[in-house]
Amino acid sequence: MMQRAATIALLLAAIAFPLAMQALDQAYYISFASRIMIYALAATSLNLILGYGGMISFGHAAFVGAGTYVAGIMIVEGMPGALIGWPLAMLLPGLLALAIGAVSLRTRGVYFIMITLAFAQMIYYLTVSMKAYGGEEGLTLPGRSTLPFVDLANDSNFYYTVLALLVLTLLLLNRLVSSRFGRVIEAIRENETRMEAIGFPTQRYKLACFVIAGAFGGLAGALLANHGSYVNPSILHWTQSGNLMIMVILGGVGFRYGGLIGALTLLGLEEFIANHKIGWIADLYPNYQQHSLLGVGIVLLVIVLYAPQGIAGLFLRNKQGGGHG
Amino acid sequence: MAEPLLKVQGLVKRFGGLVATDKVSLDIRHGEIHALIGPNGAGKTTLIAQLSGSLASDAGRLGFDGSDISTLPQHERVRRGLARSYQITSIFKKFSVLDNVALAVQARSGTSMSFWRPLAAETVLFEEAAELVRRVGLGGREHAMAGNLAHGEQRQLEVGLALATQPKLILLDEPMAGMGPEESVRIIELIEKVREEVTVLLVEHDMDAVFRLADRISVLVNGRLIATGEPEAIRVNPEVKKAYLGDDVSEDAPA
Amino acid sequence: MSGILILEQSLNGLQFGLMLFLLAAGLTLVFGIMDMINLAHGSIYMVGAFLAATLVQATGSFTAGVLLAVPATAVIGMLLEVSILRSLYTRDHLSQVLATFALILISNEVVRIIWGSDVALSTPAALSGPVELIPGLFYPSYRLLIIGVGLAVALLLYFIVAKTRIGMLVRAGASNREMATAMGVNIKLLFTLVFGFGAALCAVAGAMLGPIFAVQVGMGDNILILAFVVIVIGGIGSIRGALIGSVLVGFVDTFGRAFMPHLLREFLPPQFASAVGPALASILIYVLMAAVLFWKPQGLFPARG
Repeated sequence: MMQRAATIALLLAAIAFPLAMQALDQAYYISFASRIMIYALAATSLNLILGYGGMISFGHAAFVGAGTYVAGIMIVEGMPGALIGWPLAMLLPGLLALAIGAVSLRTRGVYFIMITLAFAQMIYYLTVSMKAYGGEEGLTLPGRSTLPFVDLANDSNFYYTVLALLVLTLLLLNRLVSSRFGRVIEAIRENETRMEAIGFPTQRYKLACFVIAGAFGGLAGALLANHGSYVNPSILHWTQSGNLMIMVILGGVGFRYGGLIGALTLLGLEEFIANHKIGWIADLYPNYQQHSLLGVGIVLLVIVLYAPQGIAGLFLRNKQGGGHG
Repeated sequence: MAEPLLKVQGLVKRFGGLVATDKVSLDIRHGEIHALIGPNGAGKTTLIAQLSGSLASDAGRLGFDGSDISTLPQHERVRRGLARSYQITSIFKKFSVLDNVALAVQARSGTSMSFWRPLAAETVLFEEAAELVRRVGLGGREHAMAGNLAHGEQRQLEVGLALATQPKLILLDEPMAGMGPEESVRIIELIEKVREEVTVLLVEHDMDAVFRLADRISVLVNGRLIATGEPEAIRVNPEVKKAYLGDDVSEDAPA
Repeated sequence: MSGILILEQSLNGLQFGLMLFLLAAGLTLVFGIMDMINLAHGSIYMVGAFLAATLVQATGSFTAGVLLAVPATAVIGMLLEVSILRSLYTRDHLSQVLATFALILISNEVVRIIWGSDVALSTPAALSGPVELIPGLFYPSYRLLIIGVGLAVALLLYFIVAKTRIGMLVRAGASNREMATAMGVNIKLLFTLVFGFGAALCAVAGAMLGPIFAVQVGMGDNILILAFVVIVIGGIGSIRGALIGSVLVGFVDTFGRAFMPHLLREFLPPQFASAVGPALASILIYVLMAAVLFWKPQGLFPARG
């Protein structure tokens, strides 16, 4: 009951946010908030395979990146309709995940990490080689995708669209996690051998999970391309996968809102460090704000060593998984 | 029924130069409790792994319930009614006892490519699981986390998971491993209780249990099956005695 | 495509491969013995290069600078192991990945704070000229030094691992940790020493490659990936696998970059070749890795059964 009330309050706050920002003449934060929500979506999709499925994939950025390029290319080629472009940005990365997963999921442990990494790098180099779409420099988009009745060029409109999609995604993935499928995925993470031994074709389920995660990652990518009106190979680099992983573990691996909390915390932290000078630190070292990654690294290390369940884990004692009965 | 439930023909498994399974042929009859004994390192677990499908054989055929299952993957064999339990406990430690068993029930009742309907709403599934938990002797422990159970209780769950798949044949790999006499009795009683519905292939070192339960016994030494027969015949078999020299059979076999 | 060119690229491939070996050897030992995925290995390589650059400038001598940087980096590596990495041995792989990834971020920034984004490290004056190996083939003498150093270290490693008692302990540990502990080996000390030695190797590679690749923040990130590809190909825990894997990767990568665009131009229209060529060259080693794993899922020479 408490959780219900908190969720509704949060939703109302999110809806009121742009209005408040406009009133305070801080319109920049509307765009910033959109960015947080987009990364929350991406991190949530990664949490599905990483947190619930236990699959350490260093290739997730490839699916997000693929989504950015699908959306971006559609806009550049004169087909900016989001109603076609965005589902396509889910479908194609989903198919990509199907192909990559079918090969990678035969392996486990470090081999799986390396294979997913290898595939991600392949796609990265592929985008770099696409001279027609900017190659290494990337491509500035002439505008955003278009929706009927809604002008996405307006930052507030874009914010509400992203909010709606994030809420929808969270609802869908929450249902997923509580379903039979979700239980199977968690159990596979717990003991894959025994799952096979009680009659589950574990490969199929892992692959399905991988594809679903890839598709939602693609959606995040499409929104990301729209946010900055810019597509660039760097979003596909393996260090970006690392970035998403940081968000997931910061928020709480395997917790429903881990991706959201993680994106909020990480991006909020970076924004704070970059734009708000703290007097006493600046006295010690004037350029400290350029080294925000140092702070991120330290926070990440501390979390892994001392609070591996992330922020959500600090507040919620029971994890999802085997919580019934 | 003349046709055996499980027909093993000429199974071979090599690991480099070592022959772990040496042309093993064996019949398991419907409704029997068939024990598989042998000294340590004889290859019993390797054989079980090949029968259950988690380890591929190098040669030989496997027939189950009238069909050839030699190339079927493990999960497919389970679907057809061939389940196993593990010598080293392999349960879902972070799940409750009920949820452990519910997984096995879930595996055989409809598809799990179901993404929308909440699992918690499936009362029938959980009722069935609760019933199985009671049958296995863990009634009252439904909500305990499997990792917190005592060793003996974990072994009960270990067997319970395999039983929950409603198999026709269950391969029990040393179900009483690491148990004292009191705990072992519970497992023995469980096996006696379920033998009405399930054919059992039992791998065990505990000779008391073996001679009490088994209808027939097969003896595996160095990957080869050296004898199969009724308990009395096995007890006096000179080859078996030789293989077990200084081991359980000669010393502890009930007179 | 002349024979001279092929020879030259072969030497380049060997040179790059041998340096990769220095990184891969330490990485595979740590993974094989301590079962730890250490992403910070590339950062140690970077620190070694930066230290070498500073010490070379301070002492005025390339040799002295490098020889001082190696033990210094080893000490840093051992301090890192004792303080932070030790607590990761018992953790799951995801925690190890994330914690060492954090170390990458931290070390990149710390290096940037102390040194700035890059430092200069130039080839020693005595070796800045080419040597004529065979008539028509001029090869930079510095690169020959690298090959020499690489071979010397490989020989040293072979000697240590195959012929000494410590080497036996390391090999035992790589194949069976429980057994090594049961044998009464002081595991903690062994681990720290292994790690320190790996760090020393990183420093040698970093110092030697510095003049060629530029000493800059983040230089460890990309070579780290290559090192992992190497140990996956070679088999985790195997020094022999690391050597063969590194040389293989070194050759494939060098030849791929040198000849792939030319090769493609034979078969494809030029605009395709120039677009696809570099991309294909970059992914060649990943294709190699996938191929090896397909045929031998545990790598070429897995130390563990």
